[in-house]
Amino acid sequence: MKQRPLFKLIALVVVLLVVGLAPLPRRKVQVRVGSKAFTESVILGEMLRLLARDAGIETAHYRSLGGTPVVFRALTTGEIDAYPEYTGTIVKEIFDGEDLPDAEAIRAALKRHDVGMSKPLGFKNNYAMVMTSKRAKELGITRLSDLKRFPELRFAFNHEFLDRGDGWPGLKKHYDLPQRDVSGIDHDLAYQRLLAGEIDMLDGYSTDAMIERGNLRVLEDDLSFFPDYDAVWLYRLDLKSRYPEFLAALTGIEGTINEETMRSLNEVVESRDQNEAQAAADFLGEQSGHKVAAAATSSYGMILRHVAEHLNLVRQSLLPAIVVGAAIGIACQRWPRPGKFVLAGVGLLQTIPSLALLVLLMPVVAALGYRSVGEGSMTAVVALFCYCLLPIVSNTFTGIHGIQRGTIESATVLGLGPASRLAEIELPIALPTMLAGIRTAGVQNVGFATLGAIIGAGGLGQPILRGIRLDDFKLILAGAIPAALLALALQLSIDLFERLVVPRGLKRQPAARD
Amino acid sequence: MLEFRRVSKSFHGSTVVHSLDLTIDDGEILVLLGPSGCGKTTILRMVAGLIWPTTGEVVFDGTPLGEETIGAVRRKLGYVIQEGGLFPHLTGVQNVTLMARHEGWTPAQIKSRLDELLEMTQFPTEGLDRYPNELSGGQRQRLSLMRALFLRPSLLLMDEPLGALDPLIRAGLQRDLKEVFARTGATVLMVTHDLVEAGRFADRVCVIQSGRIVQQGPFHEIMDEPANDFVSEFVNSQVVAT
Repeated sequence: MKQRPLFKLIALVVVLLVVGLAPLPRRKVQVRVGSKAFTESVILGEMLRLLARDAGIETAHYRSLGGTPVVFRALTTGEIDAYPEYTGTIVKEIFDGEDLPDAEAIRAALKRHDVGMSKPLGFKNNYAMVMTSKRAKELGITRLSDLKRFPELRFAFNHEFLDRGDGWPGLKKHYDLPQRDVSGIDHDLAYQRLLAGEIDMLDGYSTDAMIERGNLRVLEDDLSFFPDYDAVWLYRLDLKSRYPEFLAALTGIEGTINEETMRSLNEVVESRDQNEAQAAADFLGEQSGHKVAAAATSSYGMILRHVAEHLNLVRQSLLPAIVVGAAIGIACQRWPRPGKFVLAGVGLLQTIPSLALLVLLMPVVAALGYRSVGEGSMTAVVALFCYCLLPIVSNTFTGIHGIQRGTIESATVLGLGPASRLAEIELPIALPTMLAGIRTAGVQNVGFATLGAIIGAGGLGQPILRGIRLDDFKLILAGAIPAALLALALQLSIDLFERLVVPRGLKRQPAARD
Repeated sequence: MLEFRRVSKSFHGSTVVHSLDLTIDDGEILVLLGPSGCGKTTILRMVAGLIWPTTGEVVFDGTPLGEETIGAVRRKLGYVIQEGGLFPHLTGVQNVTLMARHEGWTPAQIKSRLDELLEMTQFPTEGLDRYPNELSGGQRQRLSLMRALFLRPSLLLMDEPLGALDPLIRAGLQRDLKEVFARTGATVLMVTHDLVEAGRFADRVCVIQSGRIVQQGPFHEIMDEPANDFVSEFVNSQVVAT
């Protein structure tokens, strides 16, 4: 009874940890499929999902997981079971440096990772160097070797292409190209800049819907630099024993998608006539002769679901960060010498770019046995947790450090032990400062949590990413506005909490006179 | 009885208190008098266990002070500092009764002790529900005094308790403090640089210069027969200024 404040503090810590770490009931998923962050991959991923679903298997599709390394690693670690890939990418990127002359060699290499490859789906999605027809005509360019004569041309390539051996560095060498004005840009934004005349050439794919829509010209690869990029399914070999019916459905549509079909599927999605699920469902319906329904969700329901996912990310990262951050802050104040280094370390954590942190954390999270990508993955949670730490740690430190020496010493001489002093004197006095740190961390967290979508962790970042990919402003707002409102709501609740719990004595007031 | 046995204290190699030998009898009011930086506060802080002697020992009622014994000793200490050291997040009554609640006193015991102290310290009852920042400087010191006295300490440590107050308030509080000392009968170790205060309270005054006692005795002796130039200069500077 006499130690009540200390018990209250311990109870608070327990509540924060339990509420923060409690797992939510999750739909039981049997098969997980993935896709990369571009329209075609997402449509093909939706096909995988629908095929599995129609085989009676509970399926989740982790859309737009990221680039090749991320998605392929997710496949090899068993976090996803299948995704669409291209033979050229397998040869040039996944097994870069190995000599894989034919499909059999590729299969053998994949087998080492317990991964299988389907027969080609029927279309190639080769790299396409794209200019506007007008500009190409003006300069008289039809082939890649023509580019050599125009060193002043401005190129913009997506970041992956810019760095990959089978991308710009290889192309530049192969054709001995002189251009220096080469920048990195997101694939989805590149076409807009090309049409606006801000750049002269970009790297597209031969099935890009924009090629027809924008009256663009694909330059001929006359010195044959690019390999063929036949679309295939990559899947885990254990599917044979786990879900043979899914594997059968998946191989059942081999050879059925030709280039024209794929281009028009891309077109209906990018022109926003249909979403990816609907486009995939229509195609499968035509193929099989019976109607395939894409589970339609209202946009209202979609936003609600993303808000719930978003709150879940914030909950799992912010609440434990409050406990851990406060504990670190207290420890740094108690032991200032090592504390200095810890404070610097926490500050350093904050400076790691968010994308880099996500990618760095993925293998760590996977190694610890947690899901690193997709819904319910710990990667986004851990990254958000790291970003929450700095404001909470440093404000706890500052809050306690700033208490007048006489106050602390009075408590000591009165006879309060270290634990009681912390619970009854130091933390309550530091509370307003700590709350300011928690508010900063929380508001930042709601913003950062949109990045969770990059690794398929869901949240309001998903409509934003999709909106960017499809150049759909409404979709971007559908993610951005609720995210902003959430941040505001969080800030207001912390303000209200502060009003309720911070005693008058800690608020600025004119002192009474004698 | 409080004893200092050859107590020295150094910080970073410079010695602030030099081999102090001093005994304070039960019920005695001893004032450490000297200019700022002379080491008088350091002496007081060693009794409170906030710092420890570099050599020598402080003994209270036969117990040498140390990490293991200080907890028990602190229950018999009352500690008042210049700015009061009140807890800003607690109301007046919460500040005063904090330790009694920790010690498991009943509400009735707390109430009766509180009434006693309100009367003794002349603290206004309505101030009990105010926070320290809503009280005047004088009220804060009275509250701080109540807090220090609540568990009936046998030794009061006072570090310039009136130092931050303006003269009129100070005079009133001096009068009341004198009364409080008389009624509690506690041993008092007070630190001040103020001659008037020393004269008002002290049974015995120790004048401290650079960490050494240069003169000790009743107040009038210090005034009438300064032991050296330092004491005489220190005394005269304040007599002229007042």
